[in-house]
Amino acid sequence: MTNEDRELVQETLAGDLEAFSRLVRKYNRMAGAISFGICGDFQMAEDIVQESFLKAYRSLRNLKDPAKFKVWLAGIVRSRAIDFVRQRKSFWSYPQEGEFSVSDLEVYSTESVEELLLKEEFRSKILEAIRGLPEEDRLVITLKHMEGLSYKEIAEITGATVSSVESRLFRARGALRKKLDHILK
Amino acid sequence: MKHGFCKFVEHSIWKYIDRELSARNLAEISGHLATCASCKKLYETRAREATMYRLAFMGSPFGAEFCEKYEEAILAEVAETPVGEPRGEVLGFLSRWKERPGPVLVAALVLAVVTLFAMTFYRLSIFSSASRDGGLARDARSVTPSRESDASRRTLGIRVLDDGSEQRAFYAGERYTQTVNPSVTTFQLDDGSSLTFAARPWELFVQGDSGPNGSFTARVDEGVVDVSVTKRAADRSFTLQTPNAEVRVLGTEFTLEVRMERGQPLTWIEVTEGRVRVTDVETDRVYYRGPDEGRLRIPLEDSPAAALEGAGADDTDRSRTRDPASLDLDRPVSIPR
Repeated sequence: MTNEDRELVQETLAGDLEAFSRLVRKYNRMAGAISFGICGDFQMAEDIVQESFLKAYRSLRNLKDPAKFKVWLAGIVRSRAIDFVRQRKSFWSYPQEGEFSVSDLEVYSTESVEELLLKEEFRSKILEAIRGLPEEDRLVITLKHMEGLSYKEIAEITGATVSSVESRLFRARGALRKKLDHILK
Repeated sequence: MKHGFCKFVEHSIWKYIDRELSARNLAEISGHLATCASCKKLYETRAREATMYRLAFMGSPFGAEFCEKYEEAILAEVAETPVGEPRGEVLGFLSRWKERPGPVLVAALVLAVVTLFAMTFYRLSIFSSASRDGGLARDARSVTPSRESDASRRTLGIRVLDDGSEQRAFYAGERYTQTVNPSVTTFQLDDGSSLTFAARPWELFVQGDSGPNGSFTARVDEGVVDVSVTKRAADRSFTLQTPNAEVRVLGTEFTLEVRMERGQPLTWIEVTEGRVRVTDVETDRVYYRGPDEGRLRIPLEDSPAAALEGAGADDTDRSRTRDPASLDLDRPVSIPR
C-alpha cells in the first residue's frame, strides 16, 4: 500500500499526471470522510477535498517520505476543513447536540433498516443525527462508517491514540443510539 | 445474573463488529453467540446500527462520483502548475497587484502591524516567563542562546491537539508544557516523524534541528510520549533526552515515560519497532533496546532482570537472567566521550 503510494508520488513528481489522478481516485473517499467529519456538510466537503488535492500537488516536494502520503494528505484535509469551518462559522452554524428531533422517524418503524435506507429522506435524518454530534465524535464515526477504517488508521489520521479512538466511537454510537432510538427498536 | 463471558461480550461487542479483536477472541465470541440468546440479541441490535450508519453514507458524493465530477478539473488545474511549486492564493494575489493595488497595500500594512505586535509580544513573553519560572526559562535560553534572536525562530513542524482545536507551528529553542486539562498532543515534524503525548501533564523542550536535513534533539522532562521516527541517515540523529537518559534513534517507534519518584527522575523506554540506543547520563553507560524486549528502566535497578518491568519480565526475560551469556542487550557498554 505505502510502496504503491511512494511510486505514485515519485511518478507525479516526475511529471506523470496519471499517477496523481490515481492518488485522487484512491484517497478522495478518505479525504471526503475527514472533511465531512469536520464540517458536517457534503457540499462544503467537496470543495475542501478539491482544494486539498490542489494544495497537496503544489506542496508535494515538501513530503519527505512519499510512503506517508496518506497521513500527510489527511493532515492537509483536516487543516483545510478546520479553516473552512472557522470562516463559515460567523454566518452559518450546524445543528448542535440536542437540537435534532427524531420524532418524525417513528412513522417508518415498521420497515426494515435496508428498506428505510433506500429512502433519501430517511438517510438524511441519520446524517442529520451524525451532523449533530460534537466534531471529534463526528469525525471518528465518519471515518469508521463511511470509509471503514480500522481504529489504528483512524488514530493515524486524527493524531489521537487508538484507545482514544475506541472511546470516542463508543461515545458517539451511544449518543446516536439515544437520538435514533425510535427507529432502532 | 449474567454469565462472566456475557459481560466480556457486552464490553467487546463493538470491537467484535469492527473486527478489532484478536482472532482467538473473535472465535470465542462467535462460538458464544451461537449459544447465548441474550448476547446474540445484543449483537444483532449493534450490527443493525452499524449497517444503518454505513448505508446512511451511501449517498456521499465521494468515490466514483467525485472523480466523475472533479477529477478532470483538478488535473486541468494542476497541469498548469509545475508539481511541488507553490502557486498559492498569496502569490497569485501579489502577482495582480498592479491591477488592484489597494488591497495589496492594505494587506502589507496589516502584515507590518501584526509583525510588529508579534515581535513586541514575543520579547515580553520571554521576559515574563524568565521572571515567573526562572529555572525553566533560563534553561531554555542557556541551551540555545540563539533563541534570544527572533530571526533564529525556525519552524520545525506543527503541533496538533487531538480534538483538532489547535494546529500551530512549533519552534526550535522553545519549551512546551501541558498541565491543565491535558489532551493528546502531537508534534509532527516536517520529515514525517512525530511525538504524541498522552493526555496527562507533560513538558517538552525542543532544543533544535540543525536544518531540514539535520539532527533533531528535544528533552522530555515529564510525561508519556509515543515516538515515531522516519528512517534517517546515520548523520541525521534523532535524540530525545530525559533528565537522566538520552535515547538516540535512526528510524523506529517507541514509547518514553518520564516521572519523578522521591525526587529522582525515572525513565522507561519501550520499543515497538526498530532499535534505540539509550545512554544513562549518570553513568555514561549505553544500552540497546528493540521490540519484544520489555521496558528498559533508567536507572537500572540492582540486577539486569529488574530493569525489565511488569509485562516485559516474561519467561524469555527470566531465562535471560539465568543465562549471563544472553544478557548482551542489557549489558552496559562504555563509550568514549
